[in-house]
Amino acid sequence: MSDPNGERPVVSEKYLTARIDVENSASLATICKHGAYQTAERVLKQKQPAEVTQIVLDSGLRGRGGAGFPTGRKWTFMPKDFEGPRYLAVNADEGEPGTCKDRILMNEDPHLLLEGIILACYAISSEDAYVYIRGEYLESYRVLARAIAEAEAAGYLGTGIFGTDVTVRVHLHRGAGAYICGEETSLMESLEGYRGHPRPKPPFPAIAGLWQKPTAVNNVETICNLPSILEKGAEWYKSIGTAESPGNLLYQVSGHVNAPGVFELPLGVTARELIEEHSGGVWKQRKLKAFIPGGVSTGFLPAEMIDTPMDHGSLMKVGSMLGTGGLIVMDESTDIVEALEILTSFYRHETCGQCAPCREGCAWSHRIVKRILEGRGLPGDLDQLREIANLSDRGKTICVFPDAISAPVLSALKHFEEDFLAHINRPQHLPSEAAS
Amino acid sequence: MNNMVKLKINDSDVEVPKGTTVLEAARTIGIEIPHFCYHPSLSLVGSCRMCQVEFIAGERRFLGVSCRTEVSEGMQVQTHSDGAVRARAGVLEFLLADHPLDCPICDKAGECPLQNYSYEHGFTDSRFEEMRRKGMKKTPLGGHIVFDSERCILCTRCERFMTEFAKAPQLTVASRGDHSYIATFPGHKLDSEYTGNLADICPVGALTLDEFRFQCRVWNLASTPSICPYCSRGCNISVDVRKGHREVLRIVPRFNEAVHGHYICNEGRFRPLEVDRVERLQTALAEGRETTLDAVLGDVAARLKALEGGILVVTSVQRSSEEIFVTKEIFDALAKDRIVALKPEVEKPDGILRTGERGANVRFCKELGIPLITTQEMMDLLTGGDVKALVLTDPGLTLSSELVSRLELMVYLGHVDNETARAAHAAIPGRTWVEKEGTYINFQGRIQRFFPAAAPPSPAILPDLVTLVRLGRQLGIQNLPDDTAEVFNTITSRLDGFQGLTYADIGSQGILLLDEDGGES
Repeated sequence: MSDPNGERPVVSEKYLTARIDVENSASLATICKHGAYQTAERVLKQKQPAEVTQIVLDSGLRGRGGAGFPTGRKWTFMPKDFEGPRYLAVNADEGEPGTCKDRILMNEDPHLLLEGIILACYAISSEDAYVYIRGEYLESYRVLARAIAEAEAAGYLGTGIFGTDVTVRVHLHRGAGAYICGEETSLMESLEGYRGHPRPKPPFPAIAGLWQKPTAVNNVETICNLPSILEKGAEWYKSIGTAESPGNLLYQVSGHVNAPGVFELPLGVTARELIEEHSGGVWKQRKLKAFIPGGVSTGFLPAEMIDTPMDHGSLMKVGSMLGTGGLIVMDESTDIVEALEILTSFYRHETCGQCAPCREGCAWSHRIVKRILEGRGLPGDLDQLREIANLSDRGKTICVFPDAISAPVLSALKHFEEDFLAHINRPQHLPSEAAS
Repeated sequence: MNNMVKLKINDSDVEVPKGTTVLEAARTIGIEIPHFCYHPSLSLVGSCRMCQVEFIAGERRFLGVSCRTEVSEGMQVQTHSDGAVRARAGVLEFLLADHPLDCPICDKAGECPLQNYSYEHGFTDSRFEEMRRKGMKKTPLGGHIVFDSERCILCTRCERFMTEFAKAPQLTVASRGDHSYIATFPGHKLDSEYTGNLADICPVGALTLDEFRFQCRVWNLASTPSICPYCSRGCNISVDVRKGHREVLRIVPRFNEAVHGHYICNEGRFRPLEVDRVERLQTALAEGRETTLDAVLGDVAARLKALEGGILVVTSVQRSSEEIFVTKEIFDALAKDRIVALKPEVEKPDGILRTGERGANVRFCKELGIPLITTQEMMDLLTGGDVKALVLTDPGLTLSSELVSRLELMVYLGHVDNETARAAHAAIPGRTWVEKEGTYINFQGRIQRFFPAAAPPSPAILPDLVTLVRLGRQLGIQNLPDDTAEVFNTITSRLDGFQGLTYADIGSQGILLLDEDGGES
């Protein structure tokens, strides 16, 4: 039940993490007692693929990987008359700093993901799903591999599943530690065995994706929404969260809070609720200074914006993004320049280096921020940082990586310029007595 | 014409075939969009971002790379709008930020796209306040190539060239981001007959040639169009010498789509550097003693005329059409059916450029009906007793002094001073192919011109054609022109397939012989 006035949404039941506290939840026998695969079986026997797509379209489900693109719409971009295979690629390369939701889903309820994969494959008429798992998630890989074997043995995966003529095979692929491989086109390059470089778009993956075949790339959490949507219907789904951002989201709170964690809550809760009610408030009795709402690529927001609802539209309005819902909390002791040095160093390390503006821009930005932090800042540095962002982001490169570094750089400068000026103006090369 | 697309580039109407890229469409109206990673012979990656232009769709203006955006009906492109110029200036600034700017010691300076675009954009200062990165300045990659990582802009042209053209995927980008660098597989060197091209396609001075490094500033080079003589493809090349000097410092390919495209093999690139590194015959010799050309020619003519038959004339598949033709004209009467050339070595074609047929002008010898014989057949002829006199104009054939002494007369014309020249009764100095002009006809039947790129070591060494014609005159053949153009025009008036062509018609890209039906062969 979303509030039409955009006020605080009603807290609803959990459906993504409802089963994670079940003892031995990754086991097929156990989880089937809690309803696993029942929706998939019913849908495959009773509904046509187009109906499944329509329900997902009607539900308003938006991708949970960061961009928030409507999942049903993404599927409809795949050509209907294409002869030959089409694929589902599940993005489990959860690499955005501050994000740790897909890991819980994969580790604790792998059969929820597999059931979602069956439904997605059925909707897009794909017989093969490739799960691209972040290399560091060895545990997720092991759990999923075991779950796939169990599901295959039970006739829930493979050919002729549930006694229908539907085939769904799930293949696991481990990444090798590159952040960029979470970008859908470089994920596909990497999956095909090439260097993880983003591909130019168009063509979009829906037209020419894996092995140049129509491909839907969906995030783990997105897929995990499907069983409940198809079980309970689009209307039920739309009653959760906000009108434009329906459903529950796995919010992840990390940083300077007393009880960091992953919380399944309806879209539209505020950062204040997440920090104060769910994660025990800012630690050490300190005040909030800043927060990053949805993974580092969504940039810094100042404490005053703590009441912003954490949904796609509301965060867009304040110049940020919902991203992955990975909220990073920074208390008053935080030096934003130091935080930005860490972030820019991350982006410098992770840019694939293909496009000149991104490769050189990330490195340049990091070197400036590092120099400022070391007390060697120059008056022109802040304008130069803005200029680098301006010369590299918004469509000047193959993928949106430069936008991902621009967001923290520009928001830090916008909201916390005094932190930078403090470093730039601090007396240099002089003992403190002499300076005073 | 439904496979044509109409679009507007900078307010000019352009019509190009469907599938053309914006960059190529702009070229058709003379607009050159700056670029680094784009190369017409390689796959498109669109990663350097230098060729960004502005697209206009209604009220919307957006940037895109022109190298891999295909034209579409009604498209509107601005190549030099503020937005496009600013985006490209941004790319240049990024590339230059960490560039060593060691142009004063860089071989590429003067023909460097990065340098040229920088001047065009008018950068005089850098906003980059950091320490520039230090990298590998001179890593030998093998295959004549030295790598400077500081200058590299990671356009990946080299990687794509090795994979796509040379069919030797031996280069890659190692590591990631601003610490990426071009590398071979650890412990391996470049190994391909086409590596020399890497220095040409590198748009900066990151890949340079061992042979050309620090040899000459490119603006001090004099460049002459020529044809590679080492196989029957006849790749179009430019021969570069230092202005006012003779030594060949560099060979670069000259684009000719119909013959070889953009590239040449390493043999064609590096062998010409050795062409003058032989002992040169500087003056005419009579019985091994220096004399004047006129004295030798007069003596040779007299002795040839005194003979009644028994003359063998050896021309060469490395000689120009004009020299071969004149040789045949002169000796047809004296040595009926005894004008031959050595059959060129034949190797397996490499499936890329090298035809395997190691002769520049095999086709013309065949057109003229000159028998091509093996070395063994040649030796058999010489030792068979029929041959009293040998006129050897192929400096590639060496004969022992013992063999020469068995002949009544041996006349040598060539640029090499060797045992054969010293043993000859008369030796006449010739020029190398870089010192003279003429035409070759390649394996496709394409007539191509080469020009003198360097002076001979001594002004006394006349063009071989002139020497041959003078000998002809001494033998009483007065109507031979000694001008290459006139000889060529004589050829075209005499042989089928050459009809109607003049020396001037050949042009910089050559011209195909006509086949029997009058079509291009």
